[in-house]
Amino acid sequence: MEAYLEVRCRCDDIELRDVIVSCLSIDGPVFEEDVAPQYVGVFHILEYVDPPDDLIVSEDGILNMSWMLGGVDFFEDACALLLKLESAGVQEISAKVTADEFRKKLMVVNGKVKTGR
Amino acid sequence: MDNSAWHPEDKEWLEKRKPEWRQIQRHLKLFKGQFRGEYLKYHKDLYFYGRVDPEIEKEGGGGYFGWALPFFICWYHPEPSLENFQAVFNAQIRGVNLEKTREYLFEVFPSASKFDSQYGMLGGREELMVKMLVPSLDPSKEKDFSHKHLNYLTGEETIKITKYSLCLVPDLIARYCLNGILPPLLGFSSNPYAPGQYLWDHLCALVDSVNDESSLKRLRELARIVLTIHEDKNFPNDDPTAVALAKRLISGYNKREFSEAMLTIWDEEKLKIEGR
Repeated sequence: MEAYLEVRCRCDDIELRDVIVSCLSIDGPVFEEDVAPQYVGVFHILEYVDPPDDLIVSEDGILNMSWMLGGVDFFEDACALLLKLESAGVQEISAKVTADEFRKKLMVVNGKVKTGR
Repeated sequence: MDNSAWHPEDKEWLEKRKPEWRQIQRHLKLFKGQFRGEYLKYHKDLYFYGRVDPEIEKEGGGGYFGWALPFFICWYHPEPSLENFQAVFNAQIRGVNLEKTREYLFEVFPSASKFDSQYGMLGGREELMVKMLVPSLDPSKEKDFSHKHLNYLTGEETIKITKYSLCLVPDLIARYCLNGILPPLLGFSSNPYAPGQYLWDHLCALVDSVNDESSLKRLRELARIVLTIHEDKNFPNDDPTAVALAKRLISGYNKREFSEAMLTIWDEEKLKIEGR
């Protein structure tokens, strides 16, 4: 089964935002030495997160990303991914997962993923 | 595994490996979720450090490598050569992992067709992998492979000889081969190293035994495309892969290097073209 995950989040810290965007890119850092020491933690959180299929950063610091997720565990994978983004330092994370007839809105609040309709 | 070709202690060596790793990540993504997320850790370990967890290695890569560990060791090998690939082959404990590797080479991986036109599928290692995995023109043959066998009770290591069955019926050889050759000639593929093309000699040797009607039709279509390359406006002349393939085939035909059975098919198609 394939599911589509759309994520919208905010990161006001421009430097951190650039690091996160870079870590989410295939052309980004490969080893922890590739990032400034203060961002080693961010690198490791995102090290094995699949690069999104789309990533757009708007001028007001909003990141819009999307992933195609495969496998039966797509919902759990989506939740884990959102929590990693939060650990990396982005805020106001909201998301939508769709797969065939499955459709759920998600929000991350204080380290927990809450679901809506 | 023998990781003497890996030099992770050398920073410059690691740095030089980064661009290919990025290419590999792009290609792993084409597997639709099979090798994503945390699984990448194991691939990264193998690619940069030549390391595989011994338990996973014993399982021929397990799910982390689709039970096709030899496929990935060869792909990530810093010094690709037939000798080194042969050592990977010989280091396998179970034939099934070699058969899975062959499946990856000819079926699973090529089904994702969006390859980089320079890197191809495996960066040019495809030909060596075909030589390693389909070493004989006679696909009914079995090949011996020697491997280390560890007796867990005594800790004693012995060399055992196991049979690796090629198990490739002529129809399958024809399908794999034509799947590698026809798409670029029809302007559909960008992999200059499509593994099927390296089975041409096998197909020449076996064409008499191919029963699959569809493959035989495609083989005749191939002959017609190559024989009319100069008058066919649809031929992808701007694709160096297609041009090189067609040149190689036309040269082989003109020099009568194909098997008699293959030459007969091509001669028949030539006559049809000339009689139009």
